[in-house]
Amino acid sequence: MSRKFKILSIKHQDKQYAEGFLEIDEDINQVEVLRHRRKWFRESWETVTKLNYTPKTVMDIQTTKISVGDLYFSAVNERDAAAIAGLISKPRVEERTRIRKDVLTQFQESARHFLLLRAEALAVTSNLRKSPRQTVIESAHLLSPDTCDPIDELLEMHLRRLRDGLSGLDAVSKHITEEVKGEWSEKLYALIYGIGTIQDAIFNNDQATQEKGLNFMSNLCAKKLEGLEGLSAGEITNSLLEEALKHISQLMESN
Amino acid sequence: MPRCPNGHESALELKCPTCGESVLFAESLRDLTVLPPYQFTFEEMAVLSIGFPPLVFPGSYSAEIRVEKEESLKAETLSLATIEGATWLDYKERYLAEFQRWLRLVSLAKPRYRVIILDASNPLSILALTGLASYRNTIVFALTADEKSRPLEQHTSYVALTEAFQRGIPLILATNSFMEEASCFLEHEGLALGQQALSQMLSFIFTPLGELMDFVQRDLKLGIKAHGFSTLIAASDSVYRTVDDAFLVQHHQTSIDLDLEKVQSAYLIALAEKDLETPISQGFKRYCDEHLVNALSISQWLNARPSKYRIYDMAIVYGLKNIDIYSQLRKGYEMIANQTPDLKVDGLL
Repeated sequence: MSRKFKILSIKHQDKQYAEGFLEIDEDINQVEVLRHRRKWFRESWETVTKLNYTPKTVMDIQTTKISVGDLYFSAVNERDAAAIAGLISKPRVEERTRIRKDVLTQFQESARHFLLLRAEALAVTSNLRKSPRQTVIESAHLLSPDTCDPIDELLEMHLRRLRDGLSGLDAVSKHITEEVKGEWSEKLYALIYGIGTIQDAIFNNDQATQEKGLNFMSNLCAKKLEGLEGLSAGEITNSLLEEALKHISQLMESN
Repeated sequence: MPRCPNGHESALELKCPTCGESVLFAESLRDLTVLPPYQFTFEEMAVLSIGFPPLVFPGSYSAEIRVEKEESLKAETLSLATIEGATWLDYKERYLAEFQRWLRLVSLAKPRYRVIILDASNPLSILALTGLASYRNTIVFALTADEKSRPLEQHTSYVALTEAFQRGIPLILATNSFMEEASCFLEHEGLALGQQALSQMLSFIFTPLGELMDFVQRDLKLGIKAHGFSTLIAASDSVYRTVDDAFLVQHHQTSIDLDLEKVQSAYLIALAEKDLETPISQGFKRYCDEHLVNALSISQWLNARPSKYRIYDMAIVYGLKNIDIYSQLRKGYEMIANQTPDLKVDGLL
């Protein structure tokens, strides 16, 4: 699909033209500048320049004056200027949206991985408290053949996995800080911390803290979170993470 | 705990309630790599049975090693695959590492006390004694072969006892013949015979385990490594007339042959009606003064137990420096060891 705009005061390299047309082909992300040419009694259109715009194309717009690379021109009015700027910056916006989506997906996966590792570590610790021998025997394949203290080794293994999980999250967090506004990135960290607090409360059978954590998560998700009874710590982690991320992503998109 | 940029701690708030700044959760995620404080508790007592039905004591951990068609690891059982035609040496060589790993996995060293109950003629008994990493607070009850047993059983029992002596593990012994003839009457339950009777006797003897451990550990320091015992379960004055008569009867029912003059220590365990405690205690002293003339130490544990028929249970654990049964078993041991030098005790430790 292509769109055509009348433009004025065209300047390209060291040549100037009083008026012309700007044709934008959205299918191939190409801008063509045409100038009106009259020779004797014949009129024709001549291409001044063609350029392909990409997500990296630098564009500047000030009221009706637009510059794209070494091309300068003015739109006939501000509405046209905004439409031209919107079309040329579309790949850039789409690219940023895609990157942000990717970063959010990566963050979601890293956060889920970390929190599920944590739920697993807490479940193993809880099982060790209830039935240490049975838990160790069930995890025997994970332990070294010459293990001296299997309980310590098992717990240390889970803590190591947890630290690695956080390192993975840290790596994604750098991109989050670049791509997501500070306010939103803090909300993303807050939801991880909130879920971690609820996990601890389930482990300690601390109803008050669990309730407090759920209220905090409900505020983050802007909806009352309920119906978590009877679910495992892993299921609760997944459920809260889904709800909170869905809400935060929607809010970010609408902003 | 998350904090705001001004350092105010804030548990679960997006904005600091003190200064209104945003709470920095990213910096607090490291808190989540630590698990909440936890504590693991283990039983006071662990019982490991080899070739003997597992004895279950209230609040104790009870486990068993046995031979089955296939190997398997469970929290209460280590099953080893049958090795056809195997002796104790084959099981020890093939399964020692696996057995020691299982002991670590089930944290046998964690309970305060350990009781190993084994049939010393069982080829797994040497594996069990060799595999124990620590003998601290451990008592071994061994059912041994005797003169009536086959040479191979005598051989295996001899090796097992030698292993225990060399490692300095306190032993309480009973012979196969004693078990076969054992009988006792249980209030509310009736007559128990053979292995069932012996299990009842052992359950009674190990009731005051901490005190018994104290007794055998002290004996060990005095060079007294082996113990025999006698029990009178469900005794009463209507049967034995006096406590002194009851003591005289019990010494004809000892778990191994023993010469009372060679007894180095004695420990009385008794459960009786409160008013019977003093007569039993005094009767024990008279019995020791009269019969255990060379004993270095005597001690006792008496506990009150109500009984409708004034029935009391008592056991005496006798400490000995040398036991005749060990010399008797040596004959069987030599018969086998002379033909098969690999099966000698020389390389045990």
